[in-house]
Amino acid sequence: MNKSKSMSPKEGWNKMYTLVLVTNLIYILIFWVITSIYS
Amino acid sequence: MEGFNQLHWEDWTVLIVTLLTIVLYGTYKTRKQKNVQDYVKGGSNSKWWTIGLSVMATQASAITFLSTPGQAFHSGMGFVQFYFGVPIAMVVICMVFIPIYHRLKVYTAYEYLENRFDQKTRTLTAILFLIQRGLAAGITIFAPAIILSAVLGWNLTLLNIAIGILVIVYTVSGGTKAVSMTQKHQMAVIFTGMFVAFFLIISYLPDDITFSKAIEIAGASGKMEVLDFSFDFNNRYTVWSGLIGGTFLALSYFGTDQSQVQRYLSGKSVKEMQLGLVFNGLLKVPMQFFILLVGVMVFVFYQFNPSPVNFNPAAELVVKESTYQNSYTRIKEQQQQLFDEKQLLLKSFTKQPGAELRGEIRQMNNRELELREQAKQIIDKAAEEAEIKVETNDKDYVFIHFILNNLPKGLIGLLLAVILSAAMSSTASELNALASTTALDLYKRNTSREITDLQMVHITKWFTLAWGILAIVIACVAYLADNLIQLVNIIGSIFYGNVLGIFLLGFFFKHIRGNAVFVGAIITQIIVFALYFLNRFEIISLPYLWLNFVGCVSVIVIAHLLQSGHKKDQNSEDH
Repeated sequence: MNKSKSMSPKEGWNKMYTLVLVTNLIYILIFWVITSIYS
Repeated sequence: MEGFNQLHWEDWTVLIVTLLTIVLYGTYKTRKQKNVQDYVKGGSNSKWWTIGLSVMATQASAITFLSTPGQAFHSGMGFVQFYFGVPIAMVVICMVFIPIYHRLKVYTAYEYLENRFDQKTRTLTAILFLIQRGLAAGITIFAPAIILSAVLGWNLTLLNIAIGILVIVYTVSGGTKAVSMTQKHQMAVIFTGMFVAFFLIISYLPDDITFSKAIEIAGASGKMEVLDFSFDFNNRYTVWSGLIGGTFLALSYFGTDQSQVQRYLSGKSVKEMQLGLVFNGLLKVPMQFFILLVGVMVFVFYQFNPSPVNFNPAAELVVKESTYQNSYTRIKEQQQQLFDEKQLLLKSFTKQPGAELRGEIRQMNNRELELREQAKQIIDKAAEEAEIKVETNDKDYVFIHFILNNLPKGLIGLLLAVILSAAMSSTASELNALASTTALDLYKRNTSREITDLQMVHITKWFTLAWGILAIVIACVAYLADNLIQLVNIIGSIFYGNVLGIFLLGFFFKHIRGNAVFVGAIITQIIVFALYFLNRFEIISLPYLWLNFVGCVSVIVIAHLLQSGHKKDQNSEDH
């Protein structure tokens, strides 16, 4: 059982991950603006 | 297309000097690799930016730079949605995959599976990877070679061999360290070349067409519709297919494919590895957006400059020598007439853009699209008459046509260096990963011989050479098979889902044991093959991209069923 435990994810959330997801959300928002202007 | 096979000496100089400098410098700087840790994991001292660039360089093959601008030229910016899953996958890999790989100090992704399950599961997944990636390595060389040989008149076999040998030289000599060092320089060449091309295209537009006006023209022509929120399954690129399918594909590729895993396993620490993938998660979407934007600018350029009806020179040649020549010429004349009418319309639009003119521009573009479709049908008939196969989908030829006909001497050489650098950077990662997997997961694990560290380095070098030669051979015979690129994608889809499912079982389902996973994986592979053939013989309808999903879900469900069945048996024996 210990063997399985050491092979399972332990890491928690990190500020970097928020940065990645929020930045990409901003990209999508910009794309949305571009799409609505030109369609 | 006359004169394409004659590059100027300035172009040859830039091309050869750029490629050889990168290869020779990389080979020289990384020539002393004493142990497996150095050779396979690059000494485990890579910094985050090296990892990030290496991951990006591995994914971006020559086809990315040849095909993506052409995709934007014909269909606009929508393809960028395909990459929306990448940042999500990066976060999951940072949180789940990297900490485990690092804790277990594995050299390959498949080594984890032996730690978690058993040796046979490790061997099975390693073999699935080798089949798929081995074939793909050949195609990574072949795909740009066939395009460049068609437009430049170069010998296809010689080009395949030249790309292959250049990659083999530094990958065999310096292993992972050489791969990541050369990839940094190759990425520098790629970015420089693409930025130069982008600014040159804008400078080639008429004086009164600024960048914002160019975007307006592209918008009026329907090329700036980036997002598609529809739930249409027939539409390949939507926000939903990007977020769901894209995440799934990116998880398989970046998390379980050794050609990518080996890039971040070379990291100095968990933090460096994670930062490397965060870097990729931040830059991947804008990078693809930029490459597509280059294609859109090429489209705007061809609104003011005449373009061929079909960009593939081989297609035009077939028609020229057929009985369909006259019909093709008529289409060309109609296209020319349309082009002349468009000039007047665009002049009015740039002076005073309005909804009515936008509608007219879109109508004209639809007419041009129709003409291009008619041209494709004529090319098909001409090819049938000549009893040969010709690629009528010319998206791979749009950007190279622009480069060869419009860029100044010297810069053509730089752009060719961009394309070949991209081909080499992807192939190098593939050969490096194929050799590491063969040496460590198959050879070392299954031999009873005592092997020293230095011997293991030599063995891995020999495997790199062998895989390199095999990749060249595949590239050289690839033209014999119809639709080989599609075949490689299909083979990928047949195995990828199953492999991802096995890893997810390892990470998230602690009670599942090796036998259940192994049998589940074998049954899944049979099911996936059966579904593929049922679809092929039109008994069911299941596009091959869905095989990924089916494979992943199937192995997880079957392993659970087998495990619970096993538990019940044990319980009844206990009682």
